[in-house]
Amino acid sequence: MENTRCFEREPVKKETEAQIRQRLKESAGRRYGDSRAKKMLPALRATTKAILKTRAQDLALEDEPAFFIRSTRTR
Amino acid sequence: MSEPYTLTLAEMASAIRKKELSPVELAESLLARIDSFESMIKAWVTLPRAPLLAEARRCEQEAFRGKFRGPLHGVPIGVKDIFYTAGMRTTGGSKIFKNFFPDFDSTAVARLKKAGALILGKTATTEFAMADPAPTCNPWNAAHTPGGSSSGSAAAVATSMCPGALGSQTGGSVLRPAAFCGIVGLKPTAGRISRYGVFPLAYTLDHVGVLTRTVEDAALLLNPLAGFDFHDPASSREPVPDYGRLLRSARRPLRIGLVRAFYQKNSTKEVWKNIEEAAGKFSRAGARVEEMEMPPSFAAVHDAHQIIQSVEAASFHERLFEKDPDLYRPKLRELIETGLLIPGVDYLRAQKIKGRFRREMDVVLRNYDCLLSPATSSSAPKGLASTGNPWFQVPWSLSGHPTVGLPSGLDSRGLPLAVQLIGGVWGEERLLAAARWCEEVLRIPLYRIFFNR
Repeated sequence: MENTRCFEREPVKKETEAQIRQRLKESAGRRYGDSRAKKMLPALRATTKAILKTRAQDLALEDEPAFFIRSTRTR
Repeated sequence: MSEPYTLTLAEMASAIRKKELSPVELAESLLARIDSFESMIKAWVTLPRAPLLAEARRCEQEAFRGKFRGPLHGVPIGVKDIFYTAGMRTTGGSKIFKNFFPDFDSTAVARLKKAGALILGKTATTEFAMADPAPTCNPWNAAHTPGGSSSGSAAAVATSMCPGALGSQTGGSVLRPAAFCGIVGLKPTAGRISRYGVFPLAYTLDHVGVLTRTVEDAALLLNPLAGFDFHDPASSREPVPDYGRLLRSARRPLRIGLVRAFYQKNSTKEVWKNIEEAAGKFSRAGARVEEMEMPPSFAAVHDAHQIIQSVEAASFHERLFEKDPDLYRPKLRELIETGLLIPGVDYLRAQKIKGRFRREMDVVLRNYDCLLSPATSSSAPKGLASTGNPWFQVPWSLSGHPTVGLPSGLDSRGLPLAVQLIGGVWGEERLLAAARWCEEVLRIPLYRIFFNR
């Protein structure tokens, strides 16, 4: 019976603000060094907030990335 | 005739065509004007006087023979130093390209030349059109920023060192400096003017725009610039009307939507008082001004813009940056470093929000000739360490809707204030007609006030 537990589906958890910030900080540390990552903290905090706010938007499955404005005329 | 430098671009072009003004006389007048102001303003980074005068002489001889290259024959124009100019130094405001001489013209520059314009010189820009400032000062008060990133273009036009200049906007880099310097700024629909041969900041947010002293001049400059360019995948095949002709048949803007929520909250009291006074004037002149609500996606537009700008700037600069990060100034360096860390899914979500916001605004704009907001949250801030806040222009750089900035008064410190008009995509002719009408109602030609200071 115990083995069946591995087939139970865990819900995918949303990243918290602290987790996003920590992940960005660790990436910055690996890429630019800890000293630089520390100096980047205000920018990383701002980026974390931007990511969270965009994640909070209720987008439909049909929404597509809009790189450029589509012309009404065919090319 | 008045001193040639005091004429508007339209007046210069007309006087040359009527042979009342020589292109050489005009070029010399502008160079003398530059000599009077440049040591204080620092608007120019490259100013090739001898080639300019030689080209002006050729234009003069052609005009004598009745030959005109185009509607801008013999009119000198300033070019922001992120546009490639064949054989003319193009630094992008960066140490990395301090000795870069492109071997071709950007499409915008090539089209201006084809229309007969002369390239007066290259105007100062923030580093790669981001936020690390140029040395340029505000002509109205040298202790204040002229705004950025099209800092030199705005200051040069405001001081009548040139009648018009090319700029670019990724966040707020045309309308903000135009507002801070008391002139007209036009950012057309994304894709209306080719970006080919312009240093990119963010591929899907970059717009080429123009800075002039009147709305008519902005329309005249847009005419030759607009249109499809094979070299730019984002450029549009939408038909290009004759903006100048349509402007002359301007009709009254019937409905103006006043954007209140975000803009009032983030404006100084003086800025909001100014926009209410402007709205009152439009209303008394016959326009129907009503407050409008922004759609739900507006809540995330600044965040989406930040993510897209960071990632795309990082994408363009990645290799140069890895080679020599110390050649980058602090703000751009931080933008690139941050952009390299943002996950792809978050970038694409931001692009989805951009699309959602554009579609929602398209629906809103069907009900209005244009929307109205303050162009900036305050007049030009003191100091040259920052070029001010782009928040008020960012939504329209994200959505790609065309905008026009118009001077709307002076604040208690004697610094310019401006309104921002927002139009529907590909609707520049309608927006410019509305802007011309607003310009006539406001009757605040700050550039003329500047002459008399």
